[in-house]
Amino acid sequence: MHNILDVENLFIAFRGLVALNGITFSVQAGEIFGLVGTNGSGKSTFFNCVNKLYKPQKGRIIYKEKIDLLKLPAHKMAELGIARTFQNLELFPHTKVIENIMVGLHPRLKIRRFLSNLSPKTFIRSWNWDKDEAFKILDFLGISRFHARLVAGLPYGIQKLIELGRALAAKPELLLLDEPSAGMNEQETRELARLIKLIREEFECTIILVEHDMNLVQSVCDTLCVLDSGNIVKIGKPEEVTRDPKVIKIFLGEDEGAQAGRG
Amino acid sequence: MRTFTIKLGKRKICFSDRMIKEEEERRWWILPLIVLVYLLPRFVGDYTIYLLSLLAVNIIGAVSLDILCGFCGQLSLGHAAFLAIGAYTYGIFHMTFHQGCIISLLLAGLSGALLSLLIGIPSLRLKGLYLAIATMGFTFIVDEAVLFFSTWTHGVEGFRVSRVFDLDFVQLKSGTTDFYYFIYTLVILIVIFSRFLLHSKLGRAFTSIRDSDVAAEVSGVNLLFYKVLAFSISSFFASVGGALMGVVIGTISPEDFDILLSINYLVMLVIGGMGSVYGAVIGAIFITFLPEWITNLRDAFLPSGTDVSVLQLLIYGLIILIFIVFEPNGVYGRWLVIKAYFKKFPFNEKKIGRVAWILRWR
Amino acid sequence: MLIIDGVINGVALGSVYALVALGFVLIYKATKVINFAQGEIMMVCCYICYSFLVYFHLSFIPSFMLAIFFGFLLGSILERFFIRPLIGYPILPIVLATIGISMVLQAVAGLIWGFEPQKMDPFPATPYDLGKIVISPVHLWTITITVALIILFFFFFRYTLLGINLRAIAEDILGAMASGIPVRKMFNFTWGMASAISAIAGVLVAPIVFLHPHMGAVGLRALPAAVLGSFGSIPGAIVGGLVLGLSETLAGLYFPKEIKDIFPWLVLFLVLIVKPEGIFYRYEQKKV
Repeated sequence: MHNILDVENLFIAFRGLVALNGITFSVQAGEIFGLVGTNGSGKSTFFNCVNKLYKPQKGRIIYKEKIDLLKLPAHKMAELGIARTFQNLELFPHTKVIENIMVGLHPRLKIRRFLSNLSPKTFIRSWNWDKDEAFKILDFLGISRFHARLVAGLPYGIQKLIELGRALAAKPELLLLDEPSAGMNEQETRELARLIKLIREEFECTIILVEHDMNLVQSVCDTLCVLDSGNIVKIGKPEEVTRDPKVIKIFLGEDEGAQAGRG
Repeated sequence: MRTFTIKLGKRKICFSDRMIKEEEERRWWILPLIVLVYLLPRFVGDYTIYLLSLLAVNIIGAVSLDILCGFCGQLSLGHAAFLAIGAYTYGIFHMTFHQGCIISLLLAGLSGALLSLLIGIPSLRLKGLYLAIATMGFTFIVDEAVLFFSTWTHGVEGFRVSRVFDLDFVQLKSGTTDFYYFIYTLVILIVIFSRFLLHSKLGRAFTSIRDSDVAAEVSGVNLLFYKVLAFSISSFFASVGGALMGVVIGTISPEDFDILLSINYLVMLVIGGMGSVYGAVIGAIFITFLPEWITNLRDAFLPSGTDVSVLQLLIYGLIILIFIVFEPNGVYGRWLVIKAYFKKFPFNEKKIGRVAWILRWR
Repeated sequence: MLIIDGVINGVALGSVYALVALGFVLIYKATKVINFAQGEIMMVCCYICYSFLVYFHLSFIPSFMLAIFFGFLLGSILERFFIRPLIGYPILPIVLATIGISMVLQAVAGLIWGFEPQKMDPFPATPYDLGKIVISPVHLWTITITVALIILFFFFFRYTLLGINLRAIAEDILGAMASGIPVRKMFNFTWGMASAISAIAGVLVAPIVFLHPHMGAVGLRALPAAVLGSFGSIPGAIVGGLVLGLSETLAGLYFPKEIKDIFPWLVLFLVLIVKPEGIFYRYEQKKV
């Protein structure tokens, strides 16, 4: 199996506003794939299509070369091993951190384990397999000291990690990260890059990254795809893509683009 | 890090809040409480035992509503409808068709769960306010249906239900101590079940729907399945509660199950605190004994001609308003804040005005 | 003819529903709250009108005007003291708060005026004979007043500064605040206005249902009208109210009494199952 995701001619429009204009590309298993573009170019829309939060009018998304994602309901994605973080964090603010992580465990819990939890020991001490797994994730991310705190009072950077933790709890094979470096400074972004590579190794998953920060994308991604107004401008290795004049024009504007191209 | 220093002569000893351990919660009070519940009837009179049986029914109603509203966040004004369905199903199967008590009770629960599909399935598309209005309409419709089918339900004249709960080896007459033991065993089982539910995969799915259904769906929670499940479980217990209400009181009529009853249970949750089963129990205790206290107040302070029901309505409305404005997290919410305060003492931070009030309201 | 009578009754009933639904929609648009006490406000204002008529021996028009004014005052006071502190809370506590207000109002009305149903019918009893159609004055006045109010509101919301401010708040509160609109005063005014409308509706419906503290339940029956009209628009509330009133009266001619009693709720269920967004829905997609 080479391609974990094949996107074919994906088209979605909102009452006349075309968000994705029939894009086609493939993501290889095990790679870190970056999706960049200006605001409104359709990056988050793409994620929402994968997750079935939006319904595209045309096109197909094939997962693991055999499953058509668009034919499945939204909640099946987690079972298939697709997890996602949100740009505007969708956390549960007035619940403990560890319980936020435990929600991500949902697809991994089966009836047998539920029944084995019905022992008096569980009831009196409220400790069980779920908590162990959640703590493993928290340890991996380095935030276990916050496990009993409510999410609402925590700093933004920590909240982003919790969101990531919830996605990782499902042991995904495909991880979709929506602007993970939003709101972070240089040092935090470097930490994030390190973390992303570590996740790819530890969890053996493919990562698709929607990003604005070109430095992060260049240091971390194997393949880069540039979107503009719903169309793919260029797709390839980061070094090639960032030197392409069309891409530079999109990010830096016409005149500077021409200058950079010449320079 | 906050510190707190005390001086002993020349030495200073410094404590910091990093030293406060997050302890595992030990629920040592469960067994003594259960023992207390079973010992209670020996010390109180018959009328109080009757009230306590009523309290048991209210606890079942409140806890079942908590599963729907507190765990899953689905605002439902339709609880009275399910109590009615349970009560009348039990009455019809037991009195008219002469089925056994346990069978009738189970059938009452199942019919409630089945009819809950009528609002469970549309609940997928109905959010918040719309669900409240829809469930309110459901209550009105069920009330009217009871009148419509008067040949079966005896309509307004009232349906006499046998107050004897007949298990084959023993007869339990409502109002007696034996019946009290039976009904409180049921209550304790339901409360324990609900607490298990809260900490299980199902419970977490419910709370994730309450807090952010987008995040829930993305984490693999099938919204339709779990919402319908929440409605079904809640309605099953509510209908069982309604059936038991019929046994405890002896007669049932549509006025007992009007929209005011739904509001009653919601108020129990507001007063006690939503989302933790304990809050429902506290609220049930408060509301069940409230009419008694109001009557005593009325006898003590006001001329005896004053209509008690008006007074009840007034005080009820005022209590709702006071609790919502000042204590929206309910008694249990306030208790959690107090517990946390003492645990952190003296390192408590000063909370700013109303920001602190909303702890678990979602 | 029975059908024509039914239609006229239906339109009159629908007008009352439309007015109450209008109150619901106005409050919902501005403050995102469903005021379950709308019916009770209606009832209290009606009692006030009654008191002026019977105890102070004023004639009908001044009593009516005073009742409307009192309605406005009542709405403002309720908003200031019970709803303002709850801004930002999720729906459950706010819904329960308005339910609490409705209970207190019912109890207070019962304590002051007693629970006996009163008759309040200021309209002449003999029906007007317009050739083929015979219409009773109550219905005629109801329809006339409602139409007059609709025209009034049309001009109010479109051409007056106050009306435009209210529409701005309904659209986007932060934007309105940034434009210098005094949002809190507007909330207060909206509640006052909605309550005044309820007062009018109450006086118009009192001749039919009789005046008693539980009269507010009629107001609740107008909720399906607001849902039908998508809760977001004023024409929607009017259309919803008329549709509801007409269908309920006509259904009463052909179906048994029990069905007619809960007809608004059956309509509600139908609407919520088939098209919960209502007729006047505007397309919106949540951005995640």
